[in-house]
Amino acid sequence: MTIRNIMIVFLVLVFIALAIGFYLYNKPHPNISRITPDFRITSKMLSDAYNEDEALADGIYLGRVIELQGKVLSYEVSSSSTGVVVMEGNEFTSVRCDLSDNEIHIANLFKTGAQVTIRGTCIGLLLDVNMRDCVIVNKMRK
Amino acid sequence: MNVVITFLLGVSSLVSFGQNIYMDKEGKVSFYSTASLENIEAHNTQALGIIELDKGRVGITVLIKGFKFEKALMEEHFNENYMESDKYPKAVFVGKILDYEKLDFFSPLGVEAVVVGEITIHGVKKSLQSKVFFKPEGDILKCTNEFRLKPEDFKIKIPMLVINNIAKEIVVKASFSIDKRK
Repeated sequence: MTIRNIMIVFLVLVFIALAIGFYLYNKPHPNISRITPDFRITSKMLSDAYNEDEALADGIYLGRVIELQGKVLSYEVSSSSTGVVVMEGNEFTSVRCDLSDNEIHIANLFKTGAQVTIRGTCIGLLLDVNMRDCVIVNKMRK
Repeated sequence: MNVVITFLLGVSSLVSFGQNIYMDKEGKVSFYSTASLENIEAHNTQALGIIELDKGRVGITVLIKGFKFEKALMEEHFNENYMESDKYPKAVFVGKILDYEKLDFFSPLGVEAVVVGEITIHGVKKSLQSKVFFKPEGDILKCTNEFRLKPEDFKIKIPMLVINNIAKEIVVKASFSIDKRK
């Protein structure tokens, strides 16, 4: 191996390392609609789990992609222009699903009382169980 | 037990429960880090803010995994390495507005107040005092404030490799809207 060849190999390795670094730094956020959910449960089950034992529920659901089936209690657009679908839980706790930016116009189709399937990431319990980056699955299955 | 529920239960022991308690479940909390190598900002639009105006009591809870970053890798590092959000999923502030009895929160010109309390981040509790502004916009009362925090005060470890990418003091801005009619 000549010095020149070693230099070329070294430069190629450096280039590959930089390319990997560049890709990682700029990698896109995961697309929830393409991720297989970790759980498929009802919004009532999620609310009950959090009411029963928050720490235990966090251990199971926190940070996970969950597909929820349930009834729409309300839909609104928040002051930050995020669509929020509130799904029925139990008498104490509902599930607040903050829709991902592309979903707002679709959610207009969902009236109070409608059955809906929503997939998103569970971020924990405040007064309700909160989900983020939510997408509506009904439309995807068509 | 959920700190927010504890706050509400504490408040319910008062005669005027339900009268002057307002909440915003979609409050906005953002933070900004300006450093020599990089500027970082993140936004959380699911913050819970509860205010009891006639007792001057304030409670804010924020889910750490609700902070959105432009860069996915930054969000990952923030949650997994710095904030350890699986272990400490929430940041909480509980406080009281000084001289609340003398303030007209709904004054159309807006009113500036001082809130004093304790903030818990990454499992560490610290006292915090900051100015808060109240201004009505139609039927909505907007409450905004801004303060600074040092990651090291909350045992948030920044690796030496990225020390110049993260500011020593982070600017936090919070904005809540309470509907007077609700």
